[in-house]
Amino acid sequence: MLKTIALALLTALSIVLAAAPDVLAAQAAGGAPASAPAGEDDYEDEYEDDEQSVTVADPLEPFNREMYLLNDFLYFYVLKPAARGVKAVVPWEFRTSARNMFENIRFPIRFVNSLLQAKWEKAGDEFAKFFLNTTVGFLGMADVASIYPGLNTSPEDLGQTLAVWGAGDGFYLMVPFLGPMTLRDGLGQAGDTFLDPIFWTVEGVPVSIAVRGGEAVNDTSFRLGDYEALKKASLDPYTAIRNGYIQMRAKKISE
Amino acid sequence: MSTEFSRALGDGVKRVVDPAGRAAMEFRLHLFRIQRYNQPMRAQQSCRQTRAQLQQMPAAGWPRQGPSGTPPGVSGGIEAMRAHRRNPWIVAFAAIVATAVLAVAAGSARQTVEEQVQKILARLQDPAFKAESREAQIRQVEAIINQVFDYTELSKRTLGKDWRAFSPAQQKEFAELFGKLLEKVYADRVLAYTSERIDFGGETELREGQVEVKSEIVTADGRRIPLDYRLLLQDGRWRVYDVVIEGISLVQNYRSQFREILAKQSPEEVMRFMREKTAN
Repeated sequence: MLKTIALALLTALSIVLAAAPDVLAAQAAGGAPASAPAGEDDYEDEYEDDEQSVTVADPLEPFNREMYLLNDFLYFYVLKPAARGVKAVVPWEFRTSARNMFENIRFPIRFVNSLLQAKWEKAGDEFAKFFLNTTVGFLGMADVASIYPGLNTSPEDLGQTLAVWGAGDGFYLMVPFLGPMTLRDGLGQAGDTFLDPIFWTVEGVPVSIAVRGGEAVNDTSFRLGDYEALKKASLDPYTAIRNGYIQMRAKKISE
Repeated sequence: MSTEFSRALGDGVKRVVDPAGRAAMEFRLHLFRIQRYNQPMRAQQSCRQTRAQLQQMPAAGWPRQGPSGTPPGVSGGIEAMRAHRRNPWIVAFAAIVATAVLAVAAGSARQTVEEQVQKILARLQDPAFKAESREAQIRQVEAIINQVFDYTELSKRTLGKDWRAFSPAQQKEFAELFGKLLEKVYADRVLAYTSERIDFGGETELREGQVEVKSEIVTADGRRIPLDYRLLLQDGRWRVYDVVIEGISLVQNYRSQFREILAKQSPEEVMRFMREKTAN
């Protein structure tokens, strides 16, 4: 039942995405700031490259800002206390093993997307990494492959595959519980679910949510303080996160 | 017989080795010329030295006079042979050394960053440092960071064309406040990564006089966080004008924020906001 709903949702999203670019392109063209007359200042030439920073359309900004406030609240009042509790109770070794296992089991996502992008070498690396960590690393508990620098590739996902195939960002979305994403990457995440062994093995919505939640809490237990630092450092956290997300994705797509 | 032989030998060796020696020196001079924009002071000095050495070297052709002024003759050939055999080889060796030195000198942007980062790491390991209060720790790390960060350049690049909307006095204060903010952020993060190692990778030239130095923070659990520094050569010193963490450029990130704010507020209001932000 869950799988049928997911599939239907995915199909609907892909139709939306297929129709979206034209609308958004028109919107972006209208909303783009008028460029200053050239040669007016030295900085114009000197910083030309820097001026071409990555941006994303954000037509839902008012809604997204509200959702950001919700996520911010959820972080401080749900995720952070839970992660702190886990960190205090569960030894570091167990938490690392759990994180490594989650990462290892999602190997099909990275492998298939490497293939879809015709990155054969990367697919080979991913396979070698998976093989090593599953055998020597005892079902992925230990990230044995990390001692080989060549195997530390940047993970591929469907969002990146779609970008490589020519899909644009669509627009920016701040999704409750899931955080920042673009329409394309959200669609990618939904599609990747079908390559996720956890999706096929775990039965029932409550159990799935529990597993995802547990994973999120465990991951956060390694990154406590990062979000607080980001918030402290930024003048407008919403914009900082949006820009950071887009820059990070652009880098991943290029790799 | 022996005189004739030594003469012939000396002649042969000289014909081969002398031009080679000159060529090596010319090449070295050429290398220093290339290097000049990288490290003006040092390269200029090296250029001057090399040029002086080149002038002292014998011109192509057989010297009619022995090295010490003795007329060419029995010892002249041998002397000439020895002198020229020794010298060019030393020069050729020097050229090889110079190339090696050049490789290091070209890595000076990387050196600049690495030195400072190692300084910070060494300080973090120091037991006396660990005993101090967090405020004192942050202040010490900030002092080291200050030596390599160029806050004016950072501010200019961050504001881009909005920089002109600020008066000179505002620009100066902005650079100070922005520097303070970044210092705090960086020092805070550095202190959070106490137990970790930092690996330095290569450097790539972005354009003339601008270089990106790659590094990776290796966390206690083996994760690698890429951290790249972008440096600019100014007055013979490499200064950091951007930091790229996991592919996210700090300058670009802050620019997006200032754009958003400056779209609605005046520079003076932005300054007030910055003052509040850096007050504590």
